Order: sequence, then C-alpha cells, then structure tokens
Amino acid sequence: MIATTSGDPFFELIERGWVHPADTHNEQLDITTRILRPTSLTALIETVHRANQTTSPFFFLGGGTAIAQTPLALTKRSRSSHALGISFEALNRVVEYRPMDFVITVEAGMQVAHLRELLAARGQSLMLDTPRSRSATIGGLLASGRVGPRRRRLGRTRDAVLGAHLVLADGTLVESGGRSPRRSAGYDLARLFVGSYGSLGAYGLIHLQTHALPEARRCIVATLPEGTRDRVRSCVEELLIEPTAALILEGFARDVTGWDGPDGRLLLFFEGAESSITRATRDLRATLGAIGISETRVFDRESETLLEQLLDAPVQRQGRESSATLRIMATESVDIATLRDRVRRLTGEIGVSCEMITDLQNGELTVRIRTLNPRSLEAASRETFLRLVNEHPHATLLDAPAPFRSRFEEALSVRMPHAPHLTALRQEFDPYGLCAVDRRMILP
Amino acid sequence: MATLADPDIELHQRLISAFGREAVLVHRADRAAYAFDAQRESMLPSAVLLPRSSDDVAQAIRIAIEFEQPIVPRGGGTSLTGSAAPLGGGIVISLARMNRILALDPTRRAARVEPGVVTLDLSYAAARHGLFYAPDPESERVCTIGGNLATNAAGPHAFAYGTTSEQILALRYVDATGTQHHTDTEQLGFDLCGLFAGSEGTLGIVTELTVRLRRAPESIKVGVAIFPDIESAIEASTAIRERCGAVVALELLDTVALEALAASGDSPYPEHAKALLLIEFAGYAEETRESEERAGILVQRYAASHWLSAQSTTEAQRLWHGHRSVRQALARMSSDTAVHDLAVPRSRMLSLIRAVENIARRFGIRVAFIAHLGDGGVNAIALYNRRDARQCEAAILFGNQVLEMALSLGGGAGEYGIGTAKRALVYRLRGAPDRGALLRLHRVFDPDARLNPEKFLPFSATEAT
Repeated sequence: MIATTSGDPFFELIERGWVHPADTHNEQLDITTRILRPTSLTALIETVHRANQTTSPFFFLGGGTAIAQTPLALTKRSRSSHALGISFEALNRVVEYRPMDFVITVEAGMQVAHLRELLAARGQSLMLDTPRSRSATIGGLLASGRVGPRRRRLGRTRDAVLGAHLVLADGTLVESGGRSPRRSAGYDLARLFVGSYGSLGAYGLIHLQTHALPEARRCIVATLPEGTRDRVRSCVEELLIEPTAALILEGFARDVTGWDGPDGRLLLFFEGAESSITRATRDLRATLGAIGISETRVFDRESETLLEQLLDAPVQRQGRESSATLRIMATESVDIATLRDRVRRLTGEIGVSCEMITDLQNGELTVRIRTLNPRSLEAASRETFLRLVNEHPHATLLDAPAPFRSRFEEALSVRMPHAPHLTALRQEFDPYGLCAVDRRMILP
Repeated sequence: MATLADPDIELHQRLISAFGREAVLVHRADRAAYAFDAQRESMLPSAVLLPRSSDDVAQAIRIAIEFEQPIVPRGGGTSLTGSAAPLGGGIVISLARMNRILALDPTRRAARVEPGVVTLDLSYAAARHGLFYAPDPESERVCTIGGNLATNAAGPHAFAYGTTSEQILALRYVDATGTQHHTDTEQLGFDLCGLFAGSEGTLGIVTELTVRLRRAPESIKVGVAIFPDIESAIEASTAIRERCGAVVALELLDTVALEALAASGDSPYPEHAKALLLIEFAGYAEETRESEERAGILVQRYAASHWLSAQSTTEAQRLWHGHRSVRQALARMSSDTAVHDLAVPRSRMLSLIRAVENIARRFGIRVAFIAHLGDGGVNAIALYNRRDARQCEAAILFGNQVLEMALSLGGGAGEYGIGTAKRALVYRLRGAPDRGALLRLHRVFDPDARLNPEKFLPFSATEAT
C-alpha cells in the first residue's frame, strides 16, 4: 500500500478509488517513479488535470513496449523533476461494439492481442501490426505511430482510427471523428495524435475500423542460395497473387524460426480466400524454382506466430547482449536494393556486423547492430546510424540503450522540415511543456 | 502599398508584375467565373491567380499578406458546401494549371502529383501500369486530387479502400506565411497528412501530394439484387460484407431513385423495383467468383426477388452507369434537387432513412436515397421547386433537420465536407472544448485567419451558431 496524505493533489482521487497508486523503481537508474492508474475515463481526465495544475511533468504509460521511447528510461530532465507516470493498465474495456457497424470503441489501455482475439470470435479483425502485441496497448501503438509490414495491402496504423476521445495536456476532453468512416467533423485530431508519443495529450477512447477476417492465412519461407537475392525481389513484385507482406531476413535466426542461406531467407505472407492462396503457393514455387530456389516451407496455423516473431524481432533482446536497431526508408531516388547495399558497405567500412530485414513492399530496411559490450555498441551504432541518417532522413530509431537514444533524437530533430508546426502545436496544447516530458524529439 | 481608393488595381498590378498577365485574371467577367462553386453562393474575388508552382503559391501568399487579402484555394470548383467560393472576397488561387503527374512509381505503388490533377486522369495514368487510384467521387471527371484531399472525398469503394486520407503518403504545403513545408507519413512526429485531409484549405495550400496506388484487380464482377424494401437490402448488405471477402462496393438505390431512372428511359435495372443493391467484387479470379456465388445465395435468403450478375465488362459498366445516372434522372424529374450528404454508423442507417422520410413528409418534399451501405453513407436528395417560395423554405428546413437527425444518431455531415453550408449545424451538438480545440489548432497554422476564411470551423468555442 502506498501512503498518501491530504496534501497530495491526488489524495482525493485515490481515496475515492478513482485512481490506484503504484511506485516503480528502476534499478538501473536507481530512481523511483510515481505511477497512478486511473480506473475510468473521468478519472483519467481528473488525473491529467491535477497533474497539469501541479505543474509537475508527467507522461503516459501504455504497455511499456516501445522500448526505444519508453518513458521509464527517463532522460535527465524528467529524472530531476520527478515526473509522474499515468498508466492505462486499468483502462482496458470495450465501450461499444456492434459487429454490423464494423467499428469497435475501446479504452486506450486495451491490449492489441486481446482486442484481436475478441474480434476474431465475431469473425472480424483489425489491421494493426505491433511488436509485443500481448502487452502493447491500442493507445500506445497509436501514440508511437508504428507501422507494420502488411501496410501496403492492409493499410497503416492511422487508417484504422475513425475517431477518439482525447485528453489534452491540460485535462480537457475533446471528441474527434466518430463511429462513421465518412463523417466530416472538423480537423482530424484523432489522427494528429498518431505518432505524437503523448506529447499533445492521450487517447482516452478510440473508435477503430474493423474488417471481416480473411478466410485463410499462409506463410511461405524459402532459404536463399547465393546470388538469388536480387532476382527474388523482382520475382515477388511480379507474382500474380500479391503477398500481404514480403521480407528478406539476413540474421535474426534466434528471433524468427528458420535459417538463412548465403543470401538470407525470404518470408511471404498471404491472406484471403483459400483457393487464391493455393494458387499463390503453386505460382510462387514455380517462380522461385525457375531462379534456382527449390525448397520452400509452408506454414498455415503457425503463420500468425511467424508474423509475431517477425514483428518482435527488431526489439527483441537476447540474454546480456546490447543492441541498437534503426529503420530506414527507401525513397524515390534511393531504392531498397541500393539502400541495403549502402548499409552493407558502410558497416563493412566501420567494421561492425549487422542483421537486416528488407521489407520489399514498403521499401523499408531494419538494421540491427548487436554486441556483448554496451560501450562498443554505442561507438559502433552511433557512427553507423548517424552516417545513415545524414544520407537518409527517413530514419527512425527502433531500439537502443537510453543514453544513445536521446543523442540520436537530438540529431534527428533538426532534419524535420515540418518541425516548426509540430513545435507550435505542442506549445499551443501544452504551453508549460509538462506532458510526455521525455518526448523531446520534436523540439529543435 | 495598397490605397483605400483602388486596392484591387494595385493588387492586380502587383500580381501581374510577379506572375505575368497570363497567370492573373483581373477582368470582372473572368473573375465572375470563380465567384462560386457548385453550391451557388457567390461573391466576386478581388483577383484570380493561376500559379504554376509551389514557389508561385508561396509568393502569392506573401502578396496577399502585403495587401491584407484573404486567400481561397480552388480545385475543380465542384464543392457542394461552398468550400471553394470566395465568400469574403480576396484572391482565389486556382490550382488548375498545377496539374502534372510528377512521378508514377509502379514499384513503390505511389504517384507524386500536383493538386490540380483531375482525379480520373490519375486513374487513367495509373491504369497504364496495371494500377489504380482508389477514391472515385461522383465528380471524378472534373474534381481534382487537391480538392479531394481538402474534403477527404470518398466514393462508392471507400469502405474497401478508404477515403482520400488513407491514400496520402506525403504532402508539400505552403503555410499562411508563405513558407513551404514537407510532411510525410513515414516521418517521425504527428500525423500532419491526416490533419490536412478534410481541412478544406484552412491550414495551408497543398502544392504536391504523394498518393498511394494499388494493383488493379485481376477480376471484377458486378451484380444487382432487387429487394422488396430497404430493410432487406441493408440486412443482406451486412451478410455480404461479413461473408464475401472480395466485396468492394454496396450501393443502394431506393424506389424514388429507381422511378426517376425508369422515367429517363436510361435504366438498366428491372422495372418496379422498390430497393436495389448494386454490388461489386474485386480481387483474384477465385475470390470474386466465390464471393459472387455466395452473394447470390445470401440475397435470396434476404428476400431478393431478382439477382442479376453482369456477364461481361460492358454489362458491368451498364449497371454502374445506371447508378451514376440517378442524379441526372432526378434533375429531369424535378425542377430542383438538393443533395444532403449524411453519414451514420451502419447500424443506424435504417433509422436515419426512416427519419428522413418522415421529415420529408412533414415538409411535403419528395426525397430519393442513394446510400453507401458498406460504411453508412446516405445521400438524401430532396426534390423541390426553387421558384416556389414555400417549397424553397421547406427544402432549407428539411436540410437542417436531416443533418440534425444524422448528428443525433451518432453521425453527421458526410464526405462533401462542411464549407459554409453545414458550418452552423455540424458543431451544434459538440461541446465548447471540442470547438475550442479546433480553433486553437487553426490558430497554430493560420493565426490571422487568412486561408479560406469564414468556412469549415466553428464560429466560436462558446457559441456554435
């Protein structure tokens, strides 16, 4: 039981049972953070409002899965100013669900996997890909703006958001959008909050678009013999039945089932009618066979597990190793093949080894550097990543040890051409800079 | 500097010296063509500029600031809510000449376009690469991609492929100070692309868009089912959406709409139908075939009297042509029509339609329905005579009441946007904090309210009307 006094601005809320207190101690940093768990939307509003009035910094806690940005890995600023954590752990209910609407309204703290299971029981699904979906919350996923490998076919995270009840940094509740996809209702604040890391406020309730579950799912894995990588890329592009995700893995052997060939391994995911997937498998085998790839493995029931492993891989920690992971996007002028070759050349020059996931459909490259020594990791990844970011502004740090993270974000913030409007928005909605204090990347 | 005596003449000279005579319309008759949009309310702009580049737009905004003129961006001028009409005067920036497709990348499935590209032209260009651009609003032959973004336009296929907002990958925009910015959905930070969708030109002028393209489906099948009533059609549409994976359009036409089509002599549908459901399936050959077969069984389960499946592309086009001709047919049937674009959750569609029918009866107005059953979009088209003062007044009151009804059912105005026409009503049921947040957000981008003023936003935080 955590002691509170009547001088505590949250005393009344705790006494009423609106908010459950809990302290969290971070042994690595040797600091104790106060965490409050509101039990309803009203309690959340009141908690944020009071936190704002005390002019103490605060931050929002979802499932704590956005490792690179986890608020518990506090920066100097929030560490010194005793930031308050507002947890969504108790805000995990379905508020409204009529299957015929193809819309579900949930509290922001609901776990992604739980929501998926709930919808699957009614023959529906959500187009949201996230690592650690058992812990990740819907609100946290949206706040992080994470996108997955199926987005070209199924849409991005933001596309699922039809509206939300948002709690602004001063505790004001604002409604944006609604339960109808075609509704015009003023600026789309619900989508503006996607990728904001809680720096404008938090999602309270979220209206999400659902879809009918696909009839079947399949993952096909092929080990790539030497000299096949480039040909595989064009083969995948020309497949008559388009995969929902197409990736080449180089490394990540301990994270994702299967082993690499000399050129890595290919993972293709298919979703849709059983008959189309059967044809896709036949066509794919013929196409790959023609370029010398004779062995493919088919996963049906395990295809979801493989997708989860793949999503988790970039943020997976193995034993006592330290790792840093960067995501880089191909552009109109630099395609994914060139980008991958550049990374290989650069890491070769610097003398570090890296693992890579090439997302063929979205032109996205995930680069992980892993070492046993945290100091050598910092040196290696700093040089590699900062040089990559200089050449490719579309880069996001997915995972890294805390000190490196903030230095990297500072370097990144200056190359955001729309940063003035992001800064102004933040100043308008949180003039005292109290909310999500460790999300500094948007401020030059 | 502008003088009080001849502000427009000086403005004209300044614009002509900056952009050349061919880019600036100053004569009254020329400007008059830009005084209104499809909503018909009008006011003569001070000048009309036809820029060719993002730099031109930036410079025009700086000139507008110098002359203290509002700016009204304009795409195809097809807005039905007054979004593109210069109702406070000012400079109209018509983006019609910024109509180039700058890049079309089949591998990345993306096109980088200027805002004045006509929606259908992009679809044609994409088709040459085996791709397509999904939003297909009814005015796609004349409306522009920039205008589609401004109102977040949709079309019959939106429930399957999304509205314009879902197609945007990146934007270049000029803000109210004349500064140019780039934002994209893969970048770190807030989702400004989502924010610009549906903002009706009040946050900045978009000068370049990167949009998502999709692979053209291997097979498309179209069918129509005739139902004894709207209830059955809605129930069947739910079952089809749940069980037919390849369904991409579910369009309802009611008795009045079908009567108008029949009277025009241009109806491809069976006579005396009470409610018609036009269904499209798209995808791989096996999927569309299976979905179509399943839909045929499902519609019979929900009391359909006919199920006609197009046997060729020509037949499919004919079935769609009927749907696209309804507005014209209604215009022939009645001297005037007013379209009220509403949106509610799917489970409230029937309640909305019945309530709108009751309101129409009360005002002595005939109403036709075209509904997007996939996602709850309902177009209620009032038939009236604007020369009859009583009918004209009834039509206005009808419009207000049906929008209020949609709002009370958890929906509101649909994809045509807010503009001036719906501004007073859309925010009525919203609280002061909601309205305040929209105004605060607007202040960040346009503190002097120079961009497309007097539209879209609530009048104030504390007073909705």
